[in-house]
Amino acid sequence: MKKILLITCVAALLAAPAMAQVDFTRYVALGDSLTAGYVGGGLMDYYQYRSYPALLAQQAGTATFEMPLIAPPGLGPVMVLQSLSPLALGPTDLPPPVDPFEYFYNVTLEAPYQNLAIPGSTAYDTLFTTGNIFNLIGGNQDNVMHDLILRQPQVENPANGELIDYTAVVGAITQDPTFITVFIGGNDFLPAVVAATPIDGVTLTPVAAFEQYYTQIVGALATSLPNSQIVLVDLPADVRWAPFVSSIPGMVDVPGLGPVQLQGEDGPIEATDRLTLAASALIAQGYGLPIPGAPPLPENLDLATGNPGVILRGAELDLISQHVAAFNQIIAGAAAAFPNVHGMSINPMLEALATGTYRTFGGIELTTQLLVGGFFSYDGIHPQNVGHGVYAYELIEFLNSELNAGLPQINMYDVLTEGDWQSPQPLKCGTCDPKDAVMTREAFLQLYQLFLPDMANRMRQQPQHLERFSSID
Amino acid sequence: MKRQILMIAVVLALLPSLSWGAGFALFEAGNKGLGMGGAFTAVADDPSAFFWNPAGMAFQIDEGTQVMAGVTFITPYQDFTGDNPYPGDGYTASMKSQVFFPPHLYFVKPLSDRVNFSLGFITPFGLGTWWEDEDNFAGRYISKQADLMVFDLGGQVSWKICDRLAIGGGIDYMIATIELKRNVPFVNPYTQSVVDVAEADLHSDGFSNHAWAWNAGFMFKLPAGFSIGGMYRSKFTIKGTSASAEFTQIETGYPDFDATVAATIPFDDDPDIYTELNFPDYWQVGLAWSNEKLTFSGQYGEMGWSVFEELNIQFPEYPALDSVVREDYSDSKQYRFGLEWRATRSLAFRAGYGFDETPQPIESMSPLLPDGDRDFYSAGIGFISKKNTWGFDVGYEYLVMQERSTEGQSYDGFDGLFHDAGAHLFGASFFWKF
Repeated sequence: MKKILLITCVAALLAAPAMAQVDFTRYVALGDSLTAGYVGGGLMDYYQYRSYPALLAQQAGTATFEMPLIAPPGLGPVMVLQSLSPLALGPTDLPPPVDPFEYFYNVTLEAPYQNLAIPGSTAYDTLFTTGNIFNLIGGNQDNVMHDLILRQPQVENPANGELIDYTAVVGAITQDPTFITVFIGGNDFLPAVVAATPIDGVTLTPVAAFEQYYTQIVGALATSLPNSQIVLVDLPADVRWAPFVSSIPGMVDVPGLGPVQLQGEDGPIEATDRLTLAASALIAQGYGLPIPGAPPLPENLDLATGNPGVILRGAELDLISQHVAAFNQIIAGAAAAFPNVHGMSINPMLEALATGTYRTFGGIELTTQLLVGGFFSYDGIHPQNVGHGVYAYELIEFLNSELNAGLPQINMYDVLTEGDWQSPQPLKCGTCDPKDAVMTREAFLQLYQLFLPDMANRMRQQPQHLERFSSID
Repeated sequence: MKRQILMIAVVLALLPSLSWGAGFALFEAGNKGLGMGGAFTAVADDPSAFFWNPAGMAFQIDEGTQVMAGVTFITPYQDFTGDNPYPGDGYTASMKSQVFFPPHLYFVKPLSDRVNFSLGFITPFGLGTWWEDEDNFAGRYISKQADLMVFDLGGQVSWKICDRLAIGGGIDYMIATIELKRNVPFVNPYTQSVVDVAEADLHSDGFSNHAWAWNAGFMFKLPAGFSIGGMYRSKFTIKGTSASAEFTQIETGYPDFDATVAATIPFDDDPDIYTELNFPDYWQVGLAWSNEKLTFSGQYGEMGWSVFEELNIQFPEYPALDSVVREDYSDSKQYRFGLEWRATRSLAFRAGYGFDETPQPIESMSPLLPDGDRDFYSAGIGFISKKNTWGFDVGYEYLVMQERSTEGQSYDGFDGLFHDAGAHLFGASFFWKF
């Protein structure tokens, strides 16, 4: 009898790894704007409810998954397609609620949010930056997202009663989650993309610093929460997959001239170079045209004025890619360092979407194209609700295949056909000016505010430098 | 003869949409064979030997000139229940109720006491799928309606080498018609959701897509009432050069988006399309035993479906519209068993059973053609006049297709369970002997 019991016990132990399952009772998401559900230049409840962490929580049956919900038109506000011809994307002119408690209507929740992703936050911020809702109520907008999401600057350490800084990582640990996703690091390289200026230490987090912050984040989570399962998501390896970088061609067809190669301050735009969406407003004003008197397109961020560059040269793209590759190695290393931490790569999915080889959903093909690709939102960087559906689909595939999670997949038919917040009655933009080609100045400034808030403020404060982003009347 | 020509004309005028065979092969070439579960290659004692075994014609020389005409009505049905991620758990759809009626027509004329000549018209391949509520059907971007028909106009010669052995063979002129309807999805840039912007109707023009094929068979009458028969029908490729597409715009309510779509899809043009469809070869061998009252027959066959790798549709003038549907079929096997009891000189009763293995992998199961292994049970009655100058056969077959899930592996990303599928087949063949 003892022998049988022993065999049973050994068999159970041997079977344990294969039976590894994930407990989704308490799920906390850490990340940045993408994880927060920031879509089309803004954070708004419609998209927060459809963000990949919310979809994952829903499929996992997690009872409580609270978010810092924001009423329309969102904190941005979110962008709309103002006109298809001429093409113009800009913020909606729907006014926000006057009462801040209607605008940020979940801010009085007497418990922490489970989606602790903070738009604009870097690995450093995730580890060190705190927020204070009274700071925001007092009119200080220096740290809006942290104030809004973390809300309290300090929390009592249950171990010794001392007050400690309430950061996103601390916010996660104090909830004793059974499952965590960490999708952080986008803002450690995206400022270089948005400003078209990769400068190590300015728009790019140095690799050594990223390693220090990231390993501390994962180390703190993994050792404080040894019984939770933690999934680390890596970063997009090639920024050219984002329509913010790949939608504006280097050649334009000028009436009377035919197709011409656009000019930057350092020379013509070559096939390996990319123009950001911010270039479109300048091209519409004549920047970059190879005609006498036309100013060249700005190459790089002007640190004095805050004006961004709009050209990513091939070598700059390579530099960004090298940084991201190094970040992804660090993420993979962190995933391998702890038994309860698992690494998931989104790059096969993104590459397939970019090359038109991603799986279809009932014959519907998604791509990374702006406006009609289905995956990305109007800002060309963040996914829209369909993109979040795809992220959720991929995460569930990963959890089911790697961690035997047994989660039901999401219903992509609903996701694909539901539409965005203004469907089915489109919000017509009454005062929008479609002359700012493709992405309006206001829309760009919102993005800029997210990724380079200091530069955006500087740009706002120097009206003499704004003229190149104003529309032609 | 005038009567025969008139009949051909009538049948051609009534050409229906077709469906239902393993893959999309049709074995409905005569209702005596149908009643015996298709176990007819070693029997082949009526003009439907044209299909089942041309050598069987040589043993019918004593019957004189024969004409057989008939039809088999097929009423297929099938349901679908979806899975996540697409079209979603609990989604259900059904095929529309349709009746297909592939006809068969034969003319047999002895040329000598050892050589028989025959002409035949059959439908060896057909496919018809049409989904209910097609414009809301979740698979409408893959297929909402599909019709494929291959008609075989053939001539054969059979030769009785000796009293026990005969061979036969012939050539087949294959004519194909195809029509595929599906909707075209686009992401509406204003709503960022998927909307239908067009209906695409891809169809062959007339009966000008054709190919040649050939067939052969043997039959050996063994002592003690046994006979062995074998047949082979060659593969062929229909090269669809006479085909075009018709796009009809579906307005979305966003005029500038609709204008952009109109500039992308050739609504005012019916662009030519080109496709190549590979059809399989197949062979059947059978063993039968007969005495005065009874016939037992068994049969085994294989179809070379592995030639059906893809459905490649090209638009020479609009390459951006090209599409390739992966099919990846495998060769498949068939088993058939049948019996006949000749209760009186004029009246016979038949029964049969068969099993067809599906050639389709689960990955390519789709709204275009969801296939599965089939079991079928058949029964039939034959009547022949006392003077042996005319008669008829009626047959019925109940076909059950095993339910089958795509197991999340659909090439089209359309996953779920195809179930409650089957068909009732009922037909009658009339024959005259002169």
